[in-house]
Amino acid sequence: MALISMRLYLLVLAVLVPVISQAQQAKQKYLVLGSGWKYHTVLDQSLSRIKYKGSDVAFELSYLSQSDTIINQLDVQGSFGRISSSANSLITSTALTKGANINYRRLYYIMPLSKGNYHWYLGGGFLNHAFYREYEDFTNNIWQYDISSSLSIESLIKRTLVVRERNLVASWQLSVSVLSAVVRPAYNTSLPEGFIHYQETPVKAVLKSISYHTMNTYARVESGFEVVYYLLNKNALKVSYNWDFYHFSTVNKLSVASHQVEFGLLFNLSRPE
Amino acid sequence: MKFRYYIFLLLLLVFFSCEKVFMKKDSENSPKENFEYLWQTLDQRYSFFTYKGIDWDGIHDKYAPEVKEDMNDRELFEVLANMLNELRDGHVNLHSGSDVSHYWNWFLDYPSNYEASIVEANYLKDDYHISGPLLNTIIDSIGYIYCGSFSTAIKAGEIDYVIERFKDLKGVIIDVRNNGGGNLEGAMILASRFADTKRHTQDTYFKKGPGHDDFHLPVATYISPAGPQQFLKKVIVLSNRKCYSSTNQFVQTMRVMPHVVIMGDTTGGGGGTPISHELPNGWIFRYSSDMTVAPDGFNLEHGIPPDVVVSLKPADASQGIDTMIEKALDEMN
Repeated sequence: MALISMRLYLLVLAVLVPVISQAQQAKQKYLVLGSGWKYHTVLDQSLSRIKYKGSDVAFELSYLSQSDTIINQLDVQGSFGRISSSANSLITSTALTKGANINYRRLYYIMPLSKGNYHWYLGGGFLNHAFYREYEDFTNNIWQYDISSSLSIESLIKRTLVVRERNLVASWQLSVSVLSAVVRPAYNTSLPEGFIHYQETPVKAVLKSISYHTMNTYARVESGFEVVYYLLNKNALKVSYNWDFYHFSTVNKLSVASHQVEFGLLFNLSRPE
Repeated sequence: MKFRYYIFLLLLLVFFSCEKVFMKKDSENSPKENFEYLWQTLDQRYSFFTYKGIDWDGIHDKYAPEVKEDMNDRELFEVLANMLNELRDGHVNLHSGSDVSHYWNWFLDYPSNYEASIVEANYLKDDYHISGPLLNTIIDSIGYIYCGSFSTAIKAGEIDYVIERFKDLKGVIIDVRNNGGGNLEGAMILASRFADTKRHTQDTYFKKGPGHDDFHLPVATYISPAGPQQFLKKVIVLSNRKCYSSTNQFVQTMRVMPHVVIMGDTTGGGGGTPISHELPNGWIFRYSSDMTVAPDGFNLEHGIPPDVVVSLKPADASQGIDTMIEKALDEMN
């Protein structure tokens, strides 16, 4: 059902795309406002071996600065919704979800890899992620969450397309987290580790709760496909699909996959030349 | 051309759904699988195996032969519930949607020591104040509070009203008989209005790993005075076997105060925090996840004995007299 909704959404967007467009300008700054749907699959083995699935409403506010050689993006995303399991017809376990991301990415144009209409960028990112789930049927451990800050390797391929005499820029972005600081509930409780022996300040308790991971124990991959359509007034429209997957493989194993379809408006902040 | 783009988009959707490669498939939902999952999860997470001297491997061997692949849900529920009851823990339940297993011997095996109709008719009568869950009245110049549940959280304003009302009385009886627990925070708000100074009330051992004895170092809990005023004259807490879970912790908290006497019967216990987990078939089970002990090392799981043992005498009860309240009133006067 959610997949059908996503496809319908894409179809509506395709119809709504305006007729007038022009090629992308170099050195542009944009404020991006976006919203869409996010579909989660959550397998939290500290509670269950059943996957919980459901959709969120998602929104985005970001700042994008791009020139011929560098792309900078500061991205704030939020989402909220509900996931549930359908393992038992008599018990429909549900959880309210809230998610947030604050990401910074910086990418550099890689000339040797770029050929023709294909433009390659490589860089790094600082990704901050929080995902909170409230399991309504549970007792004393209804609150489950994961919070992470990661350093990532980023890559991006852009291609200019001409469709029915309109210029579009399609891009595919891949992000792989290599080093992450993660906060998860400790074993058998909703409390993070630092709050079990909480005797100092909240900041110290949070710091004590952080565990550090490489890809072996906290693997996160994000892959996104985006089409941007530039208007004559230098603003733009975008439609994107993003897949985000992470796996936390310590004693409280957790896997979360999210698929997000989003429609966004890019407001040009650059001064007229 | 258009068709090619749609194909491309479709391929992306398929390609990007590759979490199925990494995410573990849902467990097989067979009676055997559910039994093993329940047994193993508790083996790794239940907190009282060593304290209670439970041979969990032996219990596996006892019940595993009863699990058949062709058994129905009701039959499976019975086997799993019987296995859980071997833990002798009121915090351990199995919820199947059509039934909830329970272990209630912590009070069924003992005298009730409480008659609600007697308390209501002859002590609370019809002019008591209802301050949230705190039913309060004055009997022979002694304040009397009946708190039958902590399920509804006690608000600070409610207990502060009662303390103000009783401040000039020579003593207060807090009757928590038949209080099966609930919100611990509310219980501690109530206790804080009787605290004279900061006192160490209990230690909690949180589990840190799957071994039966994998516990963190104990975490100390304290009670401190709170609210605009505290009642520091004589206090008697009436308890019985139905005082469970957060009521058990309330009694333990009151017990460390020098001006408080615990009177009645041993509490029901319930010294672990219950948390939930899910079986592959969607049934939800609860279990004790940690362990609390008094500062002197006394484990609270099987209840707290009173300072003064008093039982409800049937002869008194037949005349509408609550032996325990009468004894408490005598102690105060």
